Amino acid sequence: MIDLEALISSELERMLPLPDGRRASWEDVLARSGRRPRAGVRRRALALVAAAAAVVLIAVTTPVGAAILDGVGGFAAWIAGRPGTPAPPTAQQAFEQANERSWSSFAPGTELRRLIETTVGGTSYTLYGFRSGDELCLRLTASTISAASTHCAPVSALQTATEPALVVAADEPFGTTNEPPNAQGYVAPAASASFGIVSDGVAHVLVHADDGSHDALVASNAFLYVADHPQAGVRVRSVDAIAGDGAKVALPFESAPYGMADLAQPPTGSPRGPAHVDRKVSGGTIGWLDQRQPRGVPLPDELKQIPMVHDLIFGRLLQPDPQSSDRIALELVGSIPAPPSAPAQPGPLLCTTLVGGGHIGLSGGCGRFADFFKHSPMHVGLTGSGSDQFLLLDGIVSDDIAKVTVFFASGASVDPPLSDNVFLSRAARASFPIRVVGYDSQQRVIAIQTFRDDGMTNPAPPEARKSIRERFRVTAADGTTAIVSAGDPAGGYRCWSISYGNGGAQEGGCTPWPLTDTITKGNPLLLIGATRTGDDVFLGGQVPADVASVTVSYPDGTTDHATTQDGYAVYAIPAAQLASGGATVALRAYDAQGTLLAQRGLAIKR
Amino acid sequence: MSEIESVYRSRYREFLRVATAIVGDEATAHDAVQDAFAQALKQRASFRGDGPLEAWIWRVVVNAARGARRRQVARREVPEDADATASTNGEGRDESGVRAWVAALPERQRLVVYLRYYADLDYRAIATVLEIEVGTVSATLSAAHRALRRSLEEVRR
Repeated sequence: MIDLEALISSELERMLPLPDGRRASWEDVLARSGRRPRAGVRRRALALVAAAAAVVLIAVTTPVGAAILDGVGGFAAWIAGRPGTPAPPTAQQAFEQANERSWSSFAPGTELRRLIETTVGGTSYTLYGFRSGDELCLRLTASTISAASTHCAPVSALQTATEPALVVAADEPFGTTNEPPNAQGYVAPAASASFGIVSDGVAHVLVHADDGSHDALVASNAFLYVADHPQAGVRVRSVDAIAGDGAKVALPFESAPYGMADLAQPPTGSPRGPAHVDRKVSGGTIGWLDQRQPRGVPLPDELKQIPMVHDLIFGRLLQPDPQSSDRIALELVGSIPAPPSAPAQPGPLLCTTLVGGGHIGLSGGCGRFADFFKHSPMHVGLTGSGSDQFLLLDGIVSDDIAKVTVFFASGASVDPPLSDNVFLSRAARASFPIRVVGYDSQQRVIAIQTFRDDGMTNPAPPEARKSIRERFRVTAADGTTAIVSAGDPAGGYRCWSISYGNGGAQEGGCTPWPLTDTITKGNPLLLIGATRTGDDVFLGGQVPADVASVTVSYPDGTTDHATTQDGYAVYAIPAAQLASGGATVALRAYDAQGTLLAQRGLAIKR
Repeated sequence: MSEIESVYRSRYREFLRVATAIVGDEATAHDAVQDAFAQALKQRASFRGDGPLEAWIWRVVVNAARGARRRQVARREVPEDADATASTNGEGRDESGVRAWVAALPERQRLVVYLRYYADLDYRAIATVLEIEVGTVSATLSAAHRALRRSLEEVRR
């Protein structure tokens, strides 16, 4: 007798073991959804290093930038933590109360400074600034919205700046409107804000967005631009700083992502730093964790409430850089929440949780502790939201690693403090590609992890991404709709999406264009698939440009035409054809002269 | 923590595993899972409450993974019918025949198998995810099991 269930379970487990959760990032989900992360998980910047001596800068200063910047002295007010004027007592008190409520907070005694006030669309906005440890933070409040938006940059970003200003956040959405979602399902915000830090020599900041160029407000060594009721998807594309004498400098900048298609282009620079390991290391461990040594501080109760660590065996909260309030928790857990019959994970699991600015669970994941360093003695994660210009690198290393260096595309590098086998560091989105290198105690390279981009890029050129618009829609008998949106082909790519009804089904992206025989394997109908949404089944997908019509034939002899337009074919299968539980349909593609180009059978089941 | 976020944090690895099984590589699968959850967030209001929220999310993830695979077929010139399991982490010989069995299954049956054994969903949840009847899930798995049993017995003879 064969125990099929057990056999299948074990073999499938062997084929594809449960992956570790290192890639998990809720903030990335939020960024992809086009929403700003909820107030409880706003990410703050991490100080990279306390001393400028820890930063090795090789980049060449641009003459114009240097002329405006006039050395780090141009940022003196920020470095001293005293830009602008003191915040009103009520604002300072509100900030302190919010800070005290959290067990992980900005440094005690942090002084809030008022930088810029403005009113846009009937809402008053106030930009505050403060320095907390080695972080420089901007906090924007709006009179009609209770939550404040806080974004930070490391002090080292100013200490090594070659440009006279620094964009800290872009297109941060504020509030929502009552307008219906667009074809891609997005609702425009009531306002969106971009802001940053400027040096003494900067007189103007020009923000170039999809809807034109705008003068930002500049005061108190900061700039602020608030777009009132922008259309969904309107993004800032570049930012210039202008000196009193008219000299202009383009600031390092990456646009905030929008949807599946509107992503920045991948960086063109090359990764710096060592590209090969000197010694291959595998199977390391974290000794203190294995021996349950009480490093760092105990896990706070709030952190223990995360479902992932409900079966906690041992955990500690670590602060690798004492100048930063960002922390990382390492937890050994017996199991993670899963249905009782799920395959058991042998041995304890090592879970990580990022903590910053008084908030927990920025990102994290789990992996089997015994195998954690099986393939590499270093694991580095990247966390960020779409509006942030600085992303957080979090790393866990085995005892084999003695030092970590982060190499930026500019040639600059930084050695983040490494303590208790963890490190945290910041990277500007404009500084990619970056390479993180781990060294052993003899300065040999034993681990390399390269991030070619920040995870929010797409190679399609801007004109392909910006031109996406609704092309046509197909409605099923019950009113459910499939909406086809596509941009103009450019640079070998076309950006598109097909959104099916309200069931959450959507396909698309920026994909190679035109569709050649190589892509379709010689069958123009290859990319058409069936998608179920609610009670409906749609056929839909891309077709090559020479396909003028697509027919759908049923066994009962009836034939319908799919809506075929602009390189896409979509068709709603009548419910009657699926009444028996499914149907086998014949798809046929014809050119404009009615010549049959291809046919394909497709079995569809309900 | 929202319900969707809670599902993500507690079940990310299972979502990733099923998506990897469908797509064939973990990086693309991760991308599909992330996009799917973003999609779920945007369309949360459209969840009609006619089943568990997690099943609805599974549906979104499976659709996203299938879409990713379809695009991958175009980009990487993978034969349309090449099975995703061929590029998973499996090592060694297929002595039991299970891999070949999975590879030979029609897509719908294969999805049922993935959701049953990789996601550990019960029949009702699988039915909700794939929008088929519970009886169809049962029949699909039974048919798949019968096919595997036959092939194993043939091997033993």
